[in-house]
Amino acid sequence: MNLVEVSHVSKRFGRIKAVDDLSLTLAPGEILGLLGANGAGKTTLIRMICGLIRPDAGDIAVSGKPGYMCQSFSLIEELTVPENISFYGALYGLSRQEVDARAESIVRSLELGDYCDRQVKFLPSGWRQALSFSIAVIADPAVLILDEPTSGLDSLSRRRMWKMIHAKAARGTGIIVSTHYLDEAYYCSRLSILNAGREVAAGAPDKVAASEADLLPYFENR
Amino acid sequence: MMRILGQILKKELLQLLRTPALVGILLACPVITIGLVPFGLGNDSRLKVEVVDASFSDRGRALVARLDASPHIRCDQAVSLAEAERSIEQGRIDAIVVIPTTGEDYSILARADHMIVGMDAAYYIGRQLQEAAEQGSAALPLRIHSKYVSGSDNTHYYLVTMLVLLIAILGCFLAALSVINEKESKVLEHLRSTGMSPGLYVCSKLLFFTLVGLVELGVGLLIARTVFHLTPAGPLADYFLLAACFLLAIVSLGILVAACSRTMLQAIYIIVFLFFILVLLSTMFAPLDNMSPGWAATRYVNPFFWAVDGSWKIVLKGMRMGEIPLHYLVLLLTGGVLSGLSILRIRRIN
Amino acid sequence: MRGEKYHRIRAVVRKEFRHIFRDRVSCMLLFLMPAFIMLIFGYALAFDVYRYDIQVCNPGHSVQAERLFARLDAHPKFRVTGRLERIDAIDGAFARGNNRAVVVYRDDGIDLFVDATSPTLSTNLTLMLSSVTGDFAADEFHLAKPSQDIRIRYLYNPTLKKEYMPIPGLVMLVFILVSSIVLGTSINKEKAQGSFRLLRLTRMSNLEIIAGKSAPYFLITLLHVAVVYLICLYFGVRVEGSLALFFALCTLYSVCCMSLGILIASWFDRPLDVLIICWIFLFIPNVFLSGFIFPIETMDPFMHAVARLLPGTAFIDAFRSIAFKGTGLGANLPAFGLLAGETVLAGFLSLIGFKRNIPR
Repeated sequence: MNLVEVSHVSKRFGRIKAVDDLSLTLAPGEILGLLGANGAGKTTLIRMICGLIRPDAGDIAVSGKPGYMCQSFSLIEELTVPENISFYGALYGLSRQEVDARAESIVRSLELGDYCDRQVKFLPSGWRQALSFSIAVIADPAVLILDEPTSGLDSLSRRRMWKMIHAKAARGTGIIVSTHYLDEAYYCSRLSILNAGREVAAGAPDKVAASEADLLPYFENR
Repeated sequence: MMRILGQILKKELLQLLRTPALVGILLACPVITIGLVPFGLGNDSRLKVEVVDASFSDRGRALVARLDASPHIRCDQAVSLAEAERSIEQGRIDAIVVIPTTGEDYSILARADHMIVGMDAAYYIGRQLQEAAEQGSAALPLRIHSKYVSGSDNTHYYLVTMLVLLIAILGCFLAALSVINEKESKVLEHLRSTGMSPGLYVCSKLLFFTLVGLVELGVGLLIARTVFHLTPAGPLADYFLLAACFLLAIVSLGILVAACSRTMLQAIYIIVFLFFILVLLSTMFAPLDNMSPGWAATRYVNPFFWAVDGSWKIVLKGMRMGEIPLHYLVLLLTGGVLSGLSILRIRRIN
Repeated sequence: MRGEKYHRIRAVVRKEFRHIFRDRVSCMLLFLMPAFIMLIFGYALAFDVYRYDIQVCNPGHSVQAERLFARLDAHPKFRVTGRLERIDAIDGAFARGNNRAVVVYRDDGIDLFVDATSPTLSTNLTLMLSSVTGDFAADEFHLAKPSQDIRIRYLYNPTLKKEYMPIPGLVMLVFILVSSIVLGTSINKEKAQGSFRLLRLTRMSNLEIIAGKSAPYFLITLLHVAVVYLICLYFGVRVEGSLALFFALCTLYSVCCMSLGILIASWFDRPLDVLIICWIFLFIPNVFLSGFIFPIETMDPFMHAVARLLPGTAFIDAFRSIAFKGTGLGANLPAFGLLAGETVLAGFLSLIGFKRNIPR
């Protein structure tokens, strides 16, 4: 049974059609990569799946409340790591004990050391990204949506992030990842390439394009 | 729900306390606004008059003594009309009275660059001269009873005004910029993705910034009482409740502007201009008695008016909530409408 | 070298103009609101009384009282909103509506109960009521008219144009709004976003960046100066003195406001801080202590000295002096000197602030 079903969804902002008759599905344990240039419609689609905006047409069915990590981390800068975890844990509906347990486990896994009691604004961006990911999965959602999770990271941090993504997928979480990086297409189990709001290619990465260079034509202006 | 609300309030408080510049500003604002500025509020409101006595007679001297004895005038004698005119040109006096020789008319020269002062001076001096000419006839004695005397000067009157301004500036600006910050940094998007409803988001902001405003009001009142001996004549609970209703309205205005604005600068522009207009039309500076009926009618949709007028009535006149229910109702209604619009607008963000 | 500097500043100016014009809402507010505010408040903000609401009481049911009450009601500055049957209902009269006084006519005289929460207001009201009751007594009791008449002449505003009161203060506040608050928050926002740091990575100095950012606002301010003058003419407020001096005053004051806005922006990190500080430290003191509402001559010596240092005070004094009294530069040198001095000082302190907060 699919965790996410997007069926002929469209969304228009004024004269611009951000998403145009798009359909896709997400199975448990699957990593669906959304690729596309700026303005392709990735973020709009993601926001519709999260329930932040309503589509003008079509249906979206999502299993449970998805965990969400947005482009700009969206952490509370003035709070420390445990305080951010506590805050978002409560918002996701976890009990105090659950939050405390998860906070301990996240802090341990991130190996923050002395940074743990510092406000998030003083953390290096790699740790902030990892924290943001940890918060997105804090409630063990069935569906996880990551909007450019590796944006701005060094290559080591990017690897670490993908390790965490694969670990989550291995436990049955369905994951939708949007990315600008062509090489990251091959970390996904399935691809959906968007251009001007439409899906121009879909399928397993090696079926869609044998190499990164073969992906480029999909990004050309329609 | 209560736990989530508690977490949100805790988050807002920590954000506020961990911004040292903001904490400093919140402490400095009531000190400057309530503790310092009111010292300049019209301590000596007596009209300054110079008399040119051209009669050199007992009548003239009696008139000068009469003017000097009045509580509304501070009277000096000028050597000559030219000297008095120099004084008025330099802004040192408000009016000149020329007591003529027998048979000629009295002259009053009043400054009208500050029109009210000049008109008051002309009125009062004219009255004194007339009464003197009637030889103090007690045909119809006039007894003046001042009700709600707030002090010997304008201080208490304007202190109440300043308190309203203080909590409005802090409550509205803090709320608006908090929302726009969270919009720009995508924190709002993330909060909504967790399932938090726009209603809960707006309510938490309203609650927190209303509480901040009430704390500032408490500090401001304490300073006003210590420095200027301002003690509310009416019940303190009624006054704080009025302030809470006002804060609900003004904070929700800030949230609505932030929700509708695309950028922080746009939000700042809109709030600054809205504030300017609402404050100037609120009767804080130009009383309701000075407005034509058309302009006076704008007060019905101006939360500043209801807050200031209600504050004057409670603090200076000792009235209670039961005597001014309309003030509370209008503010609550305004807050309700603006909050509702904010919720609808936030729902449509993205 | 100089040519390079000019090109750099010009690039920032062009960018700033684009920034301003692309945000339609902000652009509209920036250009139209000052004129809108002055037009609205030129009508709405009156410092002379339109009409006082009063109530009356005639416990003795005297016919003379009714004649007095009719005279009060017919007076353009009074409106009798109600009649009290009993004297103990006086407190209730003040609780309702906006009643400012209760006139009680007794056999042994008139009792005037006046709302004294605002001494300024109550003084004016008392004077007017005294004048009306005095004239009434003179007519009723056929008192001999004084042999000498009283001639009243108003200086600097002989026809008592009511716009003379609010216009200087409104202009003062409009420039604080546009030149200080708007410019200050705009500069601070760019500082917070990191654009300043990026610009400093080029060869631009802080002074060049500030000059480039401020130039468009300065040009917009010049436009507002012209608009302010036209609106003054519209309200019949003529400039008795030199027009060039008047424009010089408005321009200098707006530059002073800009420098104060930049000063605040340079020392604080967040637009919220700049906004609150501008309102608390610029707007409120200049509204209450500049002579906008009541003359500063009524203040005690210390506060008088503080008020004299405010740019708004210098501006209003000089405005009234040039526009209403027709004086020249000589009489207004202190005001011009203060404004120029504060501009230079604020500019100097701003550079220190930027150097501190945005080092290379």
